[in-house]
Amino acid sequence: MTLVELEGLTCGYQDRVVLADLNLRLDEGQRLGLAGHTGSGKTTLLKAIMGLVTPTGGVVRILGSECRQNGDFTQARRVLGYLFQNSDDQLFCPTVLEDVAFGPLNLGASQAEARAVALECLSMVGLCGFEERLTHRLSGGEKRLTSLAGVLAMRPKALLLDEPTTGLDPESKARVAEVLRGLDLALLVVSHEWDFLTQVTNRYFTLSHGHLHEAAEAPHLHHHVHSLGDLPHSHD
Amino acid sequence: MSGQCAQEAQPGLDPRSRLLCALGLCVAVAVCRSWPAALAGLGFGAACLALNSGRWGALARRLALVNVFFLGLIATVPLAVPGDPLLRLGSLAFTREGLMLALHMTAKGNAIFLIFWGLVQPLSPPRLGSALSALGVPDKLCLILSLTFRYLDLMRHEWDRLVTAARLRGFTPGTSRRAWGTYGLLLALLFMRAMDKSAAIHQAMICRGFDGRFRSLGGLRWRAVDTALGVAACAGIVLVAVLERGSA
Repeated sequence: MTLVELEGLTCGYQDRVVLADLNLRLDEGQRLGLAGHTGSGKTTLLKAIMGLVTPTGGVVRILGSECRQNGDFTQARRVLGYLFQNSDDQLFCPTVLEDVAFGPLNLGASQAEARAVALECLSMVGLCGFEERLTHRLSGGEKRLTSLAGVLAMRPKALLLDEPTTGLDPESKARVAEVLRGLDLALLVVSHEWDFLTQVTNRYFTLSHGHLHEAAEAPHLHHHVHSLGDLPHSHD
Repeated sequence: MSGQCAQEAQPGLDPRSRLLCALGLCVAVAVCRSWPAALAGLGFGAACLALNSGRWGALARRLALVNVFFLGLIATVPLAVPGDPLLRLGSLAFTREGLMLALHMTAKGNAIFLIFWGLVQPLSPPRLGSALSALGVPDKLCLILSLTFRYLDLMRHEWDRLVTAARLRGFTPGTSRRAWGTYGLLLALLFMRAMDKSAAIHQAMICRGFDGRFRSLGGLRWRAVDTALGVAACAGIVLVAVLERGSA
């Protein structure tokens, strides 16, 4: 089943075009990685899928139905979990358990159900015992995992992750990767870290000048002295 | 990954009983005019401290801070109230009636502070939010309380960052026109960033199904001990009323 379909999506701010006539499909169980330079429009792409920015052209389809206005996206947001780049934006409740339970409570779960789902999701990301901890006193890695638990608590079919490893130490990065690998969900991961993308996704795209390009071969980390060292390329 | 998480039930008093009793006692103490009623209020405050476990150091610091404000009142109110002069400062008279009024206000203020410290201070923000919501306080106010608690710290860090950045570029705090101008700019920047932040937070809330309503995990349970606290608070309010009438 196709979860997300973008057709000719065009987005821009004032007179700057960020995404130009972009097409993308995310099917159930697919794991797509997306890389690109800062300011290339990766976050705008994810926000357009979630209906948080209004495209200037093109079509966004979630589960086959076209989404144009804010109301159309309400249903879509139940299916798609979006992990923000900055965890502090996403953790708005004072304690960890309240925060993870925020989504289920909004979706109509009873207090007991929401509590059970929240506890289950905290256990999935390995944060048992953190229930009553204050969100603003967590470390960067703990904040990211709590945000992920909060998104998972909505029982989404796909996750859109915006730079999930930014600002994390190698240990926390490995933990996030481990949790993501263990999920049976479709993923669209935006990151500028190719090694992380190769760990959690299996198809790779780059975004430059508003266009998506699929990498022909699986990228791998290697050391280079030439200018394309950190971009996917071939040597034929 | 670890096993299934479990959470224990919240022990102790229901936050609603704490809030209602604090509200009732504070209003009774705040409106009383007689000394016996104010002293009874101080007694209630001391009794309420039994419901807040420990943290005596923090209590002493806060109490000192509150009483700095009251010292200001004791120094100024007697100058503004007419009556029997205790001493004269030029054309101003420091009156006995004014002093007694300021001391009465200090006693009542301390009583209210102690009642709040004993009954409301131990409540965690989510429990306070749940209780306020359950007592019919509008969703918007509960949300503002919850978000303020969460983001106050972030705002403080942002402000510290801005001030540090300014200091590293030679800014020295002071009262010059330029220093005030810089403070103005920093404050404006703080508000701008707070606005950006609030937009991002709102987007994150929308993505998780937020529709403007305050929902919490609740976990409130009214037990016999809450009823007992309520009865004790009612008895206290009646006692204040009786003392007030007796000295009228």
